[in-house]
Amino acid sequence: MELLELFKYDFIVRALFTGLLVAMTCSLLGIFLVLKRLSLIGDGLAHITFGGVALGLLTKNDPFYIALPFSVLSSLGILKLTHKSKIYGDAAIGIISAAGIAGGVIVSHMAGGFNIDIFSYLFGNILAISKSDMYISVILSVVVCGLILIYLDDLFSMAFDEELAKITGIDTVKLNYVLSMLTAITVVMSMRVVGIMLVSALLILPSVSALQIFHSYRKVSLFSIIFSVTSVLTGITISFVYNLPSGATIVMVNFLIFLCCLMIKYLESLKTK
Amino acid sequence: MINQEVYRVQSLSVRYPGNEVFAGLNFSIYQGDFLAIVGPNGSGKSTLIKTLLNLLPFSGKIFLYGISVKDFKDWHKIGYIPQRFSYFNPIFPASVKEVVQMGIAKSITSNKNILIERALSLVEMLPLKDKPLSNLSGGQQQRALIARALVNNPELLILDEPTVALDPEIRESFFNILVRMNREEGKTIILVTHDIGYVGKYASKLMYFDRNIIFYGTFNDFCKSESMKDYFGYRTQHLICHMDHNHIKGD
Repeated sequence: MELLELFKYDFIVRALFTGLLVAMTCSLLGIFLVLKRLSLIGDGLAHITFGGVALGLLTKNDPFYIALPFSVLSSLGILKLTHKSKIYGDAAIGIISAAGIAGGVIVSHMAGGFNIDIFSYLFGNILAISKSDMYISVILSVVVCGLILIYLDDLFSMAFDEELAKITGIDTVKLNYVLSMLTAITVVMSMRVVGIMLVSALLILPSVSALQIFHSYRKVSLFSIIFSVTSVLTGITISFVYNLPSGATIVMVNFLIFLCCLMIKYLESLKTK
Repeated sequence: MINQEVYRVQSLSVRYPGNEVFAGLNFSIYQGDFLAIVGPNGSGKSTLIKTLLNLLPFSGKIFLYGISVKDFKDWHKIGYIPQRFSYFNPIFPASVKEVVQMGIAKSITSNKNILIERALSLVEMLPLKDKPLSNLSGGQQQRALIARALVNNPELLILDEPTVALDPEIRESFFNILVRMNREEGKTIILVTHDIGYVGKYASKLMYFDRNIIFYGTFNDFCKSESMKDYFGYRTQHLICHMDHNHIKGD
């Protein structure tokens, strides 16, 4: 099949366009999560999202609209637990995510199990994305990317050192809440692309790859987006042509890019020796 | 003439769960002071500094330039170098210039490059401005952070053990910069250190702190103080006060 023939199919165009938006959003946000050593928050919120999806399926509502507030409120809960109860961040993520997934399993059990729907949320199926899903992705991507770009310098400053950021007049408390909510929104938005189980890969891998070879935060931001978009577009194309699961294929392409970056870093270190 | 009050601290207490770090502190710091806060490890010096910057919860009152520190907004007037260099993320993707740029106060919108280059020149880091921070030695990274603290040309500099990772030569030149900023430009400097002997060469005032203010005054008063003689013992006080300071205290 000619590659250009792919664009004859509406569902492929929708998948590629939505994938592009999700890739940009995840990679831009992921840099701050990685630098703030909060990489696992995506995983934790994804587990919570599972609870929201299960509740949505049980109540016959669109799981997206139930999972979104579920995830946003939980992200704020994680922050509150960390700040007010002096619980370590990773422990707070563990507690909330365990509660979320346990809730999801109980709801699934009460419903007598779900049909194949739940698998498309767990492992992603971007090729099945609807027009309304695409429109929601556009709105959420604009909101998330727009806020990140507005606060880009402040976010980097905070990721570098929160106390120093505060001394330069940055409201780090507010910014942490913004970052937390944006993460929750992005996780829910990404679940149709790579699935709940793999969403954290889309948040972490592109920025970690870029961090291997670039040492300026603007270059890291740019190449993190390039790696992410490349992996999503390539992954969707491969998954369609070879009939493979789209979410897993995207993550594997991301992983290959990461290995290439590691290789480049290693070769560069040989040159400087 | 009494200089303007930079800090006024009233009944200041800080408590961690199950542990009172200090309680009931009262003191003032004036414009143009070069105050060295010295004391043993674990005496609460860094906690005191962070509290003065509103980075830790406290009870009591702290006024910075006459405004409660909780409501203070003119952070461009303050330069701060934290102690905990070990927390610094060594893989953070930033060049020296970008690190200094991050320190520019939000209220400053023009001439940023001039400010950055001036700050880097002060710590002799201008030739390394495009180098990634992760490729520098510990001492060079510390100098980049010092440049970051100086970039806004602050009126008040607060430094918590700033010279730990520096070579003796760079340390000497850094202290000379501080002395010049203090004496020629009238900047207020608060320096936390455990090196009580060394700092006598530069500071105009000394606060000996060990979970309480044991002494607060000029270095010469410290050397003459009978209570300090009792506290440290004659020999130790003599050693502290007769190191090769070559200084004349401003009294």
